[in-house]
Amino acid sequence: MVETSLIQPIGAACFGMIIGWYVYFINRYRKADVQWSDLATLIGIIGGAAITGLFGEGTDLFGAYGIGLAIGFFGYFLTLIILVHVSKESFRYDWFLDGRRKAPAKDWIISPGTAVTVSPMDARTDGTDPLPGGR
Amino acid sequence: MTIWNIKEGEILAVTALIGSMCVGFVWGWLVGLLDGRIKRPILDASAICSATILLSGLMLILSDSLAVALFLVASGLSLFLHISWRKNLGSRSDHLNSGKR
Repeated sequence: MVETSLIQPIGAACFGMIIGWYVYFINRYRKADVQWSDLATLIGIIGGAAITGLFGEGTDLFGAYGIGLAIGFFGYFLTLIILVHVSKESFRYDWFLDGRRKAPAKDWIISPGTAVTVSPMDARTDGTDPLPGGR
Repeated sequence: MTIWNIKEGEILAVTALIGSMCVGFVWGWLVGLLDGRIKRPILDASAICSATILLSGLMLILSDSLAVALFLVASGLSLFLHISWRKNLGSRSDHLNSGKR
């Protein structure tokens, strides 16, 4: 193993955290069903040439990157769980399965252009929208 | 060897092993998303296996065979946990059980 200065693994871990967070984010807002190209993209993100080039062989940088990746990825997931739990009535655990949630009250609006979460955890495969009137 | 008296070089190796395991957890969770959505079993399974082998190769290059083993174990565990969790959510969901989607 090649020793590195402390700041390098910390940087690699932070980089991994951002990538992990972003991987979950992309998956959450993915509009289509899972494709093969998604797998290729994920492999590129997790361990593509750019990553292996950045973190040389024989260092602990890839390890730090992996730890950061998991923290970012599952951190996003944990944040969703906490937010769903805190929301009490607006969102229930069903939301993780098909995006089901309560429709906003009459005096509430969702601004046009707000990103729609198609796949909180899983994409709907039947193309149906569980909410009347969309969103 | 305890955690308190490992040498610096060993700490680096431990970081690499934990990192490989963490990548495995993420990979297994992502593969779990395909649960119930596989339309071409042989083709899809071979794609997932190929991707897993590619990542295992990466672990082998960047670390060692123990890292590969940990990556595979973590992937399997994460996949199992993800599918179990989804099945558990589905079984608790009233509207999915009653067929009113």
